[in-house]
Amino acid sequence: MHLEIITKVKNAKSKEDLDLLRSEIFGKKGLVASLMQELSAMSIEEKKEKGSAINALKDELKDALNDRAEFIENEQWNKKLESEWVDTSIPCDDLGQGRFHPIMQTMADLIEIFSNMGFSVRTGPEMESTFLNFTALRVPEHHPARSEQDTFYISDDTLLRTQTSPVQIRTLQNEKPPIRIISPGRVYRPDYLDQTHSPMFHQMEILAIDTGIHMGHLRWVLEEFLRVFFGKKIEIRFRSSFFPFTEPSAEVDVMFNGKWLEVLGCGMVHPEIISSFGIDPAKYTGFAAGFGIERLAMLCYEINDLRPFFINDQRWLANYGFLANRGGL
Amino acid sequence: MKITKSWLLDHVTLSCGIDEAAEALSLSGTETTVHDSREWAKKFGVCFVKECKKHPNADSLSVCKVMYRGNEHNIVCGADNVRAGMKSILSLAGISIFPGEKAPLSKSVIRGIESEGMMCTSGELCITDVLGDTDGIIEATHEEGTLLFDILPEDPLLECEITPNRGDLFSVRGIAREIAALGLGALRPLEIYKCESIRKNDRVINNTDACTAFYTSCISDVTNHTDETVVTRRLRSVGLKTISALVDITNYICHDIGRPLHVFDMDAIDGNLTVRLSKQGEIFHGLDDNEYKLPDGIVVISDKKDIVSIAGVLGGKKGSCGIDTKNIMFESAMFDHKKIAFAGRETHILSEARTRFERGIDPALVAHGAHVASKMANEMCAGNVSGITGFAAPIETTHIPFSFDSVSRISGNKNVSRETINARVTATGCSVSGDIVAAPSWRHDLSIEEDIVEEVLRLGCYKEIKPQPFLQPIEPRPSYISWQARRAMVSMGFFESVTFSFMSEKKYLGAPADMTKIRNPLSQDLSVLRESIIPNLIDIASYHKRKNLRFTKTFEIGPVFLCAEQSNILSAIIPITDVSKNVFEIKSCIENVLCGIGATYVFCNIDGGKIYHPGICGGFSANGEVVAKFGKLNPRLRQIFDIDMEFVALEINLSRIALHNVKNEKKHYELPSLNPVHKDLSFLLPKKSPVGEFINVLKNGNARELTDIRVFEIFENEEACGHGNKSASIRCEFQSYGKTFSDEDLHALMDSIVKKASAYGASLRGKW
Repeated sequence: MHLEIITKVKNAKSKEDLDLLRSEIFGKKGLVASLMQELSAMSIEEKKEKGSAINALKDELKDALNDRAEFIENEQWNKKLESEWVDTSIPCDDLGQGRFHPIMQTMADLIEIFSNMGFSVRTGPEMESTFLNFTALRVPEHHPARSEQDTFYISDDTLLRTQTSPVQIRTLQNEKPPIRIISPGRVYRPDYLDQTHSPMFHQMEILAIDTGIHMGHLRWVLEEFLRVFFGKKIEIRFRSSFFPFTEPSAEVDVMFNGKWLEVLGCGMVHPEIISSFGIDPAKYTGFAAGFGIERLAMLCYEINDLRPFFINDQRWLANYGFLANRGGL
Repeated sequence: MKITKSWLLDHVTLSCGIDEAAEALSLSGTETTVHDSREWAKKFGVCFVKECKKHPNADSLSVCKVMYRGNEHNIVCGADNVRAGMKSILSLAGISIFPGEKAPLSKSVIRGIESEGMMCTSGELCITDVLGDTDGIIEATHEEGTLLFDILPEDPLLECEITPNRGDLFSVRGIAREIAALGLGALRPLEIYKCESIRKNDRVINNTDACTAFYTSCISDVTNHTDETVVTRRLRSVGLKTISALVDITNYICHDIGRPLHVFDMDAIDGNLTVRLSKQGEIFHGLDDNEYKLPDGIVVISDKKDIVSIAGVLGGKKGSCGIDTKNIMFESAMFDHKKIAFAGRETHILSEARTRFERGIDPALVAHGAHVASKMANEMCAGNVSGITGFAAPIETTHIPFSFDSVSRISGNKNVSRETINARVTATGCSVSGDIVAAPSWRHDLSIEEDIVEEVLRLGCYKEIKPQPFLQPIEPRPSYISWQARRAMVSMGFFESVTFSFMSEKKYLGAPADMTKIRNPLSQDLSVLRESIIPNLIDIASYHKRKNLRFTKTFEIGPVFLCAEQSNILSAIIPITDVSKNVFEIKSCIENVLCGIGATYVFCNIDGGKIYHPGICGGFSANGEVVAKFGKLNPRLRQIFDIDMEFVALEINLSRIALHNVKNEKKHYELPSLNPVHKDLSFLLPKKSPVGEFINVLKNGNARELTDIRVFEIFENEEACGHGNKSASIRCEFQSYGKTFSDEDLHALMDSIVKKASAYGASLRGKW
């Protein structure tokens, strides 16, 4: 009889079935009540003996009911959850993520490196005066760089800047040493777009003017910046060169995959430039350096063609661009 | 500038290998590469003629079986000296004959018999200078299979890139001097012809200050020729053309010691020669067979009738030496380098002489040049030399104050000894006396102390420059508006582009008066500076469409130019999928950017102009100035851009925003303890009435308790709203402070909203 009712509980199919069984067992006219009634007619010894048996039975039935209730609830949940199945294996269509252009990311990385060395950013107009782009930088009147083969002109005295050096001149016009600036930006030269040339590209120049600055400082700044930028110590060498605005002048080669590659030009700011801004060249010296941002990006990310930087093919940008969480300044 | 090693050795004895010398030249400022001048000869080799028979169809030809490197080849040969058992140089089909040019030799059928290549004469291989002019094919003595490369004598070719300040390096002598200064060899002495008390040349009259020296030497009764000599061989070996002995001599001296010369056929000259400045419109017939119309102010040499030379640039047709020339005059002169550069620019003539004059030549070699030329001419072409005549202004020496300490001041290295400094300065040809350095006559680029320091450091290949930490207190990093905007756009899923700042005039959308044209554009597609970035972004979309690629939203931050004024603009486009959604997507992008920057802005209506759809556009203003625009692109643009796609776009003027009180300060805010209460209201408005403006009216000057109003439904339905109306439903958020709202409180708040609405012309729909 007890076994029968326990089996019933264990086979109950729903919460409703269980409620019925619960009242069959524990209700006023239920199993337990009737057993208790039988008990009342018994002797004390019998009561003791039967009574503890009834209590044990009560506990057993209670547990059985609770277990079954939990089981049924789980069953119901499982059924519901299963019915809500979604195929999460379907590939995401679009991550909806944008990209920073690699030129801009390289620029951001460089600004950060130089900021950490105490350089601040200065910018200037891209349509520049011939005076600031050439004359103030000691480029002689008949120098080939001034020709229409090498410079885009808007008029005789206005051009598209061929370098960001005019920003240095503007800074010298407005600020007094100590000066420590970088000037990133677009520059223009009349070259057709090919694997290594572009009519527009990006450049960054460095200028530091203070007392006691010498070429050893220049070398340290360049070594540090290349080390941090490429994430490893890069062997460099200075090679003598000529620029109208620096004296002495040097080209800097870096050792890359066993070869010396030319990456930047630099030198000590020509004393005539320093003195032309009313700064005493006997007291103040300075260094300047300039390099192409695309060139560094190409070396760093092993890109061997300049053209895609300006084609903006989104497959290329998805590969070489930078995500919001990685990139930016 | 090309130099062969053998020529270089005329001037210097090397104490190192040629590669080491080239490396040192490169590091000290003259990028130099070494080529094996025989590289081409690796394709040719010695063959053995095994069999030689008469060609069945041609008397003058032979058909040979030739062994070369283990293979037998059939060769048809026309040379008289071909015979079985001989050895010669074979060129197989597929190989170009030296030097580089011409189409490669191909297999051919000659009179019915196939020939797989040819056996060569020394002339065909341009090696007559080494093997002499062989009458027939070359008779080789080396073992069959030997490469021609191994037969020719080794003579490396140095190719030097000279920086514009070093005119003195445009000669074999100059490079030799540089190698010696670098400590890699001993310079052979050059005995310079000294010209004391020379008489004037009566046939030459100088009428300009731009000519400071002019020497001549005349030879009568010369025999000009085109014989093969050391001179012709050397000129060819460095890539120069040979003309005739007399002209070759001038080119040789120019290359050898950097002294440009000219030789005149005096029988062709009418009367005296005058050095003077040209007059506007004068005609000059050049040696290059071109006719030049000259402007004012070019230094020329003319006879009684014609201009016979542009000084320091190009000789004239008239007075030039031919093979029959008998009486000649060599000219060796000094002209103002600025005047020569001017002449070169005006006439666009590139010449060896111009290259050197422009950069500055050695004034000490003027008479020497004329002397050497006449000596060589006399040896090679006989004749009677009549000696040097002419004049020269005294040579000025540049004296430069120089302190030894300047080397450590500029290099940062205190360990470069006085002896080293002294030795290096002297090695450049300078002389040191106390604290004054005198520059040699050939170094026009040395004028200040820093120039001397550079000489000292570069002759040490800059190895004395040691890195030294360069630290200084760091400024707080500034915040860049462009970068804030860029980050916002990338995080909203836009791809960043970088496009050119110039574009095609056809795609220029601004007013023609504002257009900035490039005077010398690369092409018509890149001829004006852009006044908007949007055309470039559409071009990127076209590119993707053309290539059948997916194109997603993109932006660029960069300059635009309007009336010569440059602004930094953020522009973006999104291809339209559902215009009513996309237009709000692009609008929210602007707000995200502006909000992130910390700008204060309000919505405003704009004139769509050519770019935007007049009915689907808007803008944002700061202090009354429009700083951002957005909208659907005007469908009429499709005619210009020829693209079957539609876009919404935005433009934000970052330069202007920066001027409008951008701040990132936080307002004070405390969390309220009570929960907010929401109430919905619906209003009827005329269809074209702007809901944005309506909401602003409701918000404006309202109680502190009204914390937000949001539009959650707008619909137009004649039945529900009446003709010409629309319904706008809003959800108001009320926040009480201190105590909960009573019904009366809420009633009063909502009542004030309804009153404002009705004053605006909106009536409450239904009840609340």
